[in-house]
Amino acid sequence: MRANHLMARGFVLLVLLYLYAPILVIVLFSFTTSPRLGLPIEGLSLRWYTSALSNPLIVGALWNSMILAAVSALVASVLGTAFAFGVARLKSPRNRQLLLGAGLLPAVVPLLVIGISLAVIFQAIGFRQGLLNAAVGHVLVCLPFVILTMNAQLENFDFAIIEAARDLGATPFRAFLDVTLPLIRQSVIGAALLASALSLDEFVVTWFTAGNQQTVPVLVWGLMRRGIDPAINAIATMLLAVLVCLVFASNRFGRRVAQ
Amino acid sequence: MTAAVDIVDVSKTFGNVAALDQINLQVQDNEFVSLLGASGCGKSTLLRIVAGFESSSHGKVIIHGDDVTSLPPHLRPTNLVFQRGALFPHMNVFDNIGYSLKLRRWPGPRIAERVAEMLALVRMEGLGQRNAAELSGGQMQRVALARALAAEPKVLLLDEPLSALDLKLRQQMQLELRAIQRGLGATFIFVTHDQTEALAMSDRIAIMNQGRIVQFGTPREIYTRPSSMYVSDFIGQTNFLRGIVLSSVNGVTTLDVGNGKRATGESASDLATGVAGILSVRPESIRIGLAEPRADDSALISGRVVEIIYLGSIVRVGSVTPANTTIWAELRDADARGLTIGMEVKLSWPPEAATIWAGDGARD
Repeated sequence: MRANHLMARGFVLLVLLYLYAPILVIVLFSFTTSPRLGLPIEGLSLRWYTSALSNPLIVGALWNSMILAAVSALVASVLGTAFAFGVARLKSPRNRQLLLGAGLLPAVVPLLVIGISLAVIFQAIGFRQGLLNAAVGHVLVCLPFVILTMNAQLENFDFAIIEAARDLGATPFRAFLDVTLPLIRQSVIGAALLASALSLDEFVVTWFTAGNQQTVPVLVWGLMRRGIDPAINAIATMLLAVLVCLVFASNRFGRRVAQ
Repeated sequence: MTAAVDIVDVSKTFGNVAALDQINLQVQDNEFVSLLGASGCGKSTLLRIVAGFESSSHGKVIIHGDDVTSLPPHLRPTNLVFQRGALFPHMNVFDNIGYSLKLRRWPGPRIAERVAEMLALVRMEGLGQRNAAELSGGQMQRVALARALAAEPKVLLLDEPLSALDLKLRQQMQLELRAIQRGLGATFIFVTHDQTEALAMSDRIAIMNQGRIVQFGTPREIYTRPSSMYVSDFIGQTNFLRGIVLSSVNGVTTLDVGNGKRATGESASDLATGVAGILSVRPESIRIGLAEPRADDSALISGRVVEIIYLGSIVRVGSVTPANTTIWAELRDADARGLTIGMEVKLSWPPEAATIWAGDGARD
């Protein structure tokens, strides 16, 4: 009995170690003093952070990543919410399932396929590769996830309250401002944060569409080809911190709404 | 006098299915009218057409002489009380009730006055600051009613507003709702699937079946003179007897119900001799006796008691006739004493208590 208990604990610990060891190692190395990657580490410092943030290439990539994250958050959350709303209002459950499925399907299409398709399309219509193309790609990648979260939120949304507002004299726009928006705002913010997290992390589609513009993941990939610069650990750790915050915030906002 | 609501020839089709089939209905000012029917009969669709949330495929809705058929909901002089209240969950009770007045840009003090008046009307004084999400089911429906009435509708529409409440509360709310309607002298159209509720509250009831109004009349007319087998079966409980028309004069019809037994009842028009007829008689009209019945009783059917159910104020007695039909009677306890299962009895009723239609009992 006791032996079983110990084994179960040991197993859980091993799985957790497997899940988190690589992340812990990179966080640890981002704070070391020596450029040599090896244990035990000699001392702690912030020199790799300073070095990363003083590199104009890295700062440029951070800037681009932030722009893309903001655009993805805004555009994907608006489009995705509108889509989820439209689907939720459909009367026939079959059509609802069908449209929802169609909205979610791109999430399982390989990113490579999406990346190549976008590159081909942009080429065909004569768009020069750049941030705009990457933004289109990022919104596309984020949309299914926004639709999924918003759909879950809207499943228990009582559409009768919108009708109640209309019945009491509100124009459609006024009913949206007074009733719909306050009730879904938190969910939409949650979905937007999720979209920005997905965008920050996006590599494949960006690589095919951004041309010579760099985002953080694309830049890191380029730097890695020239050998491991400890500044990469610092960038990765910062990215990690931002993503963890975004995902936590997204969850918090998303949960608070369901009326 | 123009009707408060005049529904003219309204039809609604979803695809190939006719949800409403040429509905004509006139509701008078200050009248409490119920639309009663089983689920799917079209009653809610009709109400939503009056409110403006559904469009009719054909026909017109006229309110106090104004054709509102093409007006959107926010421009109609109607307000709707929704089934589960549909209160704005992010507002308190005060803001819910005052919403329509805020939209009309009433000054704050006037809104406060009106809201207080409405809260008093639904007996929720002092609860204005309560959050809408914290209310009990009964309170929610009270606030929903107050919110709709605050907008001063010419016609108040109610879509099964009591159906989510438990029986005791529902009965109490029925009384309050009726008292409020009388007190305000307002016109109410009330949708329900609960026949007891409709009978208890309405001035008139429109019984709907498969997208049509099958009968429109006062509760008493509908209960005592159902126009069809469907209505008779839907409202209250009844017994049906099938037979052949022997005679039919001045609305009094006699059927041969087999084994040489005769049953008499009233019919809306005289029926042709020899056609099939069906008779409906309510359980409370049936007398059960061991002795011979009164001379004026219309029918004398023999039966054997197979079931006695004691319900306190009444006793339900089931008897099987030689034709193998079970006839249920409701007797006062005193009249049921002495009856035992297996006993041979005579069943009878006064002719005016029975209604007869032509037909073989296939559902109309």
